Amino acid sequence: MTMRRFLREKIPFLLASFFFLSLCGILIWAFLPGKWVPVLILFISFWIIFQLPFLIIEYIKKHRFYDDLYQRLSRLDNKNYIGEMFPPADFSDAEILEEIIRICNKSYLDDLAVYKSMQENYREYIELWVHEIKTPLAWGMLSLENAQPELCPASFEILNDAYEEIEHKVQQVLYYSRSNSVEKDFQMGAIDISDLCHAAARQRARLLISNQTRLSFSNLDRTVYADSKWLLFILGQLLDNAVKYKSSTPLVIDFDSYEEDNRMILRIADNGMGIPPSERPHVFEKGFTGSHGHSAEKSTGMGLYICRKLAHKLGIELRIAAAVCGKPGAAFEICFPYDKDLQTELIPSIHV
Amino acid sequence: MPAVKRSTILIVEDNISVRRELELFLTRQGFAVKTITQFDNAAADALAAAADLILLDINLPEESGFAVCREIRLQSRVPILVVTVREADIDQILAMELGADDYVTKPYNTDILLARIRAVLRRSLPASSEVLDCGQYKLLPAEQSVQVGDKIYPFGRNEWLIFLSLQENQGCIVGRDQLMRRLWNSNEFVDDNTLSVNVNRLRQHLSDIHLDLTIQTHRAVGYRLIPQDSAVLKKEDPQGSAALQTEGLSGSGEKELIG
Repeated sequence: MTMRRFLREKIPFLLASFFFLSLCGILIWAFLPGKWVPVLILFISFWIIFQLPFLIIEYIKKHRFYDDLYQRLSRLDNKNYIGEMFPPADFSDAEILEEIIRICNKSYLDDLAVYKSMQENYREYIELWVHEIKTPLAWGMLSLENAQPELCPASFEILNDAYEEIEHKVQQVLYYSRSNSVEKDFQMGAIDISDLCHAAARQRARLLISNQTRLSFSNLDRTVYADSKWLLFILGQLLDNAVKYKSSTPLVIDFDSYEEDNRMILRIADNGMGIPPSERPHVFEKGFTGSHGHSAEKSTGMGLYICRKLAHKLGIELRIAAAVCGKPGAAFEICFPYDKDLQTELIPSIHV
Repeated sequence: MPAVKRSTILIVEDNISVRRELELFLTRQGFAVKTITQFDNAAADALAAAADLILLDINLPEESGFAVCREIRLQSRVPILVVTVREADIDQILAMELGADDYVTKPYNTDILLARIRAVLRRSLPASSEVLDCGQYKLLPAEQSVQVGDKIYPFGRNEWLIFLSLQENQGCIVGRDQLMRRLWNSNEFVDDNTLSVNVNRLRQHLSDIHLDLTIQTHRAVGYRLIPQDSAVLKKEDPQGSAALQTEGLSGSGEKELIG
């Protein structure tokens, strides 16, 4: 608490004292016209002797208390707990303040708990739902496969594509919910990058083949540590994007990897429309669709946002590669922490 | 598929629709299929079915698929392929620990389901049973070779996969996309041009080893494998020939074969 604030608070008291002393002065001047000056000085001195120490003591007390309170507040990560961290005080303002803050905090935390459990229930429901919807999906896909002889090839392909897209969208819901949860529900393991990229391509085989895609894999003979399913999801989203923003046939997608400082970078580059420089800082933002997003198929702007969140949880970086001169298209890079010495040992990698 | 003992697959799945479709699908793929409809004694019933492979769903009404898996494994070495809806989950590890041979996640990608089933069966069956007699030639999947008379001719990997696909659907058109998906599933990420090259190489190979087979090209659709005699017959049929557009005119393809 600053001196100015304190004095402002004391203005009524100081004014009252001033009027009181003025009144005294007038009275003394009226009754003792000859000696009114020394008597008035005596009065003022009495006032100073009896009032000023109390003011100073009060100022120091409050100054200490509020300073301490502010410091504690600034040190707290979660400011809500300030009610529990009050410094000791022996004036009633502080006690009342503490009581009020405690009551408010309690009510706030109770509310928060309600929302937390609502959120948790919702997440549980979503994950359950995702698993439940897979059964009818499985049955639909199988029955489509079985009905193939009776269907015209075009509608068979359309239905198949539709089913596969539904499956991928459902998967996205699951991973969105996972990316928001506090728990770490992933399994880290050694992953062979080349296996991983092949698995991602197999997962999107139908989509990529029907879009006349040419894949190339180079320098992928490396092992990293991460959760293979999460990475597969991320790669799947990147492949979906490559198809969504393709500009010419054939669509060419290159998987490549290289080392940079203590990191291993997996680069996925395509020859599509690319990302305008002005939009680069925003592609990982929630709901960002970009200028191509409107012209091409409608997009939700969720895919890359989820990918970055998942990557963050896994402790790896997902970024847009710097533009290579004369090469059109978009390139994304996944950066893994990477220990070269570990590569020489034979690590059993997880079956992707 | 001609003259082969069909493998029996037992489906343990409580959802009736999935079970029915799966049964139909696997039957059409040339497997003998059995199912279980009561699950209060699933393990014993599964063993009694004496199947070559058990397709086991983890979410069963009476007891969990894990328990069933363990019970079966205690008494038999029959291959078990576990089906779960959860991925990246402890379920899969647990299933493998309990003796399952592999797992697939719902919804099934049918290409992958078939590939897994065949892989598990191949591992479990003795190598000698892996000869498919197709009349004028025999298929040796383990060696990616064809046996004609006494001679064994090895195939290139892509040519072999293409030949298998065409051979399994003999007489029917196999779509280019379908062939490519099969190759992709074996990590051969060929594009359209490479597929044409591979098919031509296969034609060359078939004619080199004097097999009486023709691969017809259906432009922009796919390929069809037919014994040469019936190919000639088909071509004389006006309706058939209208539908056919062979690459014979453009110089590449089956002309080499006929000659």
